Amino acid sequence: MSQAQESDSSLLVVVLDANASAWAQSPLSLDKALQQLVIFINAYLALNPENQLVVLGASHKECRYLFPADPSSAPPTHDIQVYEQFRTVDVHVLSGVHEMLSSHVDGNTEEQQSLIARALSKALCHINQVNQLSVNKIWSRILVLSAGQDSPHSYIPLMNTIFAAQKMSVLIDICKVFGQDSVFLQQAAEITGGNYLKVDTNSEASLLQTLLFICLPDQYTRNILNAPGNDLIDFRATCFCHKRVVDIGYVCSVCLSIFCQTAPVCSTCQTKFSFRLVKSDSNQSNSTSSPNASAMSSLSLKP
Amino acid sequence: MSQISSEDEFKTTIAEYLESLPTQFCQRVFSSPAACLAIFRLLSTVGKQLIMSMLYLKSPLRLQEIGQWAKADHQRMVKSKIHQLRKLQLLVEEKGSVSLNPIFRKQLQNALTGGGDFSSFGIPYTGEGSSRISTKQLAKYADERWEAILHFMVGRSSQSHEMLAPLSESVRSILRVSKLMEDGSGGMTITNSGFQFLLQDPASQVWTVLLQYLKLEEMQNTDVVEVLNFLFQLVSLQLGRAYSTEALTRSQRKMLGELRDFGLIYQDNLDSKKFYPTHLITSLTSSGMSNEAASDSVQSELTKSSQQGYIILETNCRVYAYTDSPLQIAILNLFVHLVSRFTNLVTGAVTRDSVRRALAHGITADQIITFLTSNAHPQMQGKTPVLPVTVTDQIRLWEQERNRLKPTSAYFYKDFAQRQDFERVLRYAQDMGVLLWASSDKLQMVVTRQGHARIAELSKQQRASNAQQQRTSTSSGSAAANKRTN
Repeated sequence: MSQAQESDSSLLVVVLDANASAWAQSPLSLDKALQQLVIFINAYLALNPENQLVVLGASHKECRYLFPADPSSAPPTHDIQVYEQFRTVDVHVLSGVHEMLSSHVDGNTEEQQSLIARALSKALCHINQVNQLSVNKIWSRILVLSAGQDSPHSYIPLMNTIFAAQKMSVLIDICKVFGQDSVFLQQAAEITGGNYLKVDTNSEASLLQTLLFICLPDQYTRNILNAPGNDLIDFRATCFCHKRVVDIGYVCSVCLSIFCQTAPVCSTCQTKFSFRLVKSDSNQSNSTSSPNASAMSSLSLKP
Repeated sequence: MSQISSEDEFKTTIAEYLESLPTQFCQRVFSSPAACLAIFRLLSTVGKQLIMSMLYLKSPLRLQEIGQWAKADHQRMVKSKIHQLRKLQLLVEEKGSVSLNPIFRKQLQNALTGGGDFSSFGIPYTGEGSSRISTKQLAKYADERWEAILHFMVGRSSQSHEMLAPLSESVRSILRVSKLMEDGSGGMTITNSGFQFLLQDPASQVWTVLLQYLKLEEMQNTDVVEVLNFLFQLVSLQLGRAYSTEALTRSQRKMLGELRDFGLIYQDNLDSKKFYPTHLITSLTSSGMSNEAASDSVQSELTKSSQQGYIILETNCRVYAYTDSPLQIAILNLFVHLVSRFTNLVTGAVTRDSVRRALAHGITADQIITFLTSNAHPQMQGKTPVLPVTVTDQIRLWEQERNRLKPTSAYFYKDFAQRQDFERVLRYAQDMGVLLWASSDKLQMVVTRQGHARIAELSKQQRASNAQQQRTSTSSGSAAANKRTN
């Protein structure tokens, strides 16, 4: 893998968790967070005029492009106070988020889990497209601003996107605004070499400071400046049958699917397990045929 | 060393110019968000990140803390970047801790959030426009104007391109002040730095001209800060948009007229109420890359027409240039021995004589190589390295041929009273690595200027032992004759 050069331009995909009910519980209101995010985006655009930007919004129901917006929307009027490149982005992002929020008012407001996995795969598709079209090397990274909780149902697609990102050498930075640590997103940052940050929401501007300090540097600068270390990462996996986070589970010997209970047939690859061999020596079976799921998964996580 | 001194004069970066400004001037330049943004974009990547990290920090940081941000093997590099920021007066140091220049911090924040001075990013023209000019026309206009200047420099303007507008007096005076050209017997002739100028890429050419423009204004006692601020405002304008001249001051309007002569600005006529920036000036800090899809395609077409490479260089030093532009041929002629010319193709070879001729004009091997690389034909661009190594090495060797002797400022010691003294000083000088030459038969030696101070200290300590030592100082080592071959 070649090293990032100073002159290389970068592509940043911001995935914004736009789930109204999740933000409602946050000490930092969505409006304030958006303001700070917009300043961060402007700072990113100010770094290098060649820098490219995509902003994706993800709610519990849908995931859509906030920027670049579809050209059908009216062009924003020129505001002389702001540098024009910034202005376009800001207007699109802010109006896009408000549109998303207002369209989901009637929906199920209890759901706090957003379609992060879907947004990530959309982001990776976009990155891939840009890489195919451009002649020069473009270093890409993804920033997820997350407020909601993990959704165990999307464990498999999420892990798939994470490994795809790792293969494409795309960094994933996670900024968790409040609430419990997200087990899945922690893994996403760890595997792709990005940063996982939990923002101290006590002071107002801390989100912006964190973003500018840790998420702004590109791949080249990250080779030079230190990043905060990720101390404890929970590498536990979720079972494929009940979407529970498990310490110890059963792994299909053919497709490596993880289950919390024994089953005669693997639900993923339809392999029929032969239990006779296992049952013939019950003492041995405990140690060999039910391998430690976390050990297995961490093996596969560290290539 | 005429070569080095001419390059010293030849300030190619705006940063160096800003560093040379006195503090009060800098503070006034920083008072506009557009200027702050433009200056910010001129910094190195690490410098930008340092600024951004500190932009919203309330308390000053200790220098050591910033040192810890850097990884162990990049400590020195980050330190030099901090030093650079301090020289630009973006960082203020106080009792071992640093913070951002408060005015710069405020205005850069304004630039990001949209506040502060209203007109700093230009006032768009809202009146009725008789004819809207497309970005394509703008580009054509700018390229024509710029090429006319370069044509004039290589001295081809009169013969082949009569339809080009003649150069105005302001352009001539800048060329004269910048020493790119000088008044000779048969009109103006190009100088050595003019040859170097021709080989630069368009962006650095524009910067050079703008810097010279600033110098000229300085000489005429105009307010440099106003000029600088207007310049930074122009740099941050949007390509293809009309801006109003109404809010401009008198000196700014005058400047507009002069920049128009260079093709940096387009105006319908002299007293038009609107002006368009061209890609020459908007691409200095921003690529002019607009988010609208339409202008994107225009932009790519632009770069295709004006920047596509046309030179093929073979391993046997032969050059094939697909061009019919007299300007490009004239530039190539600086360092290529041209053999034949066809309708769209010029062939020739890089020879020892042709390169030495270029070197004699003050052009360096690196400049030739950069020029060839940036103008290489697309078929060559795919290779790494772009140019054949044999040729680039050969060009560098030809340059080294001319620099066989290297002058070093030095001190010459002679007439040691005792051999012991001589040997002690000799050993000391050898240990420190400052010895340039020594002869133990004649009891003479030459040490570098840095070494002299330490040896003088040694002899001071040894004065008790009454070591007699005479020294003669020669500014350039007398042992090695300080003449350049050829």
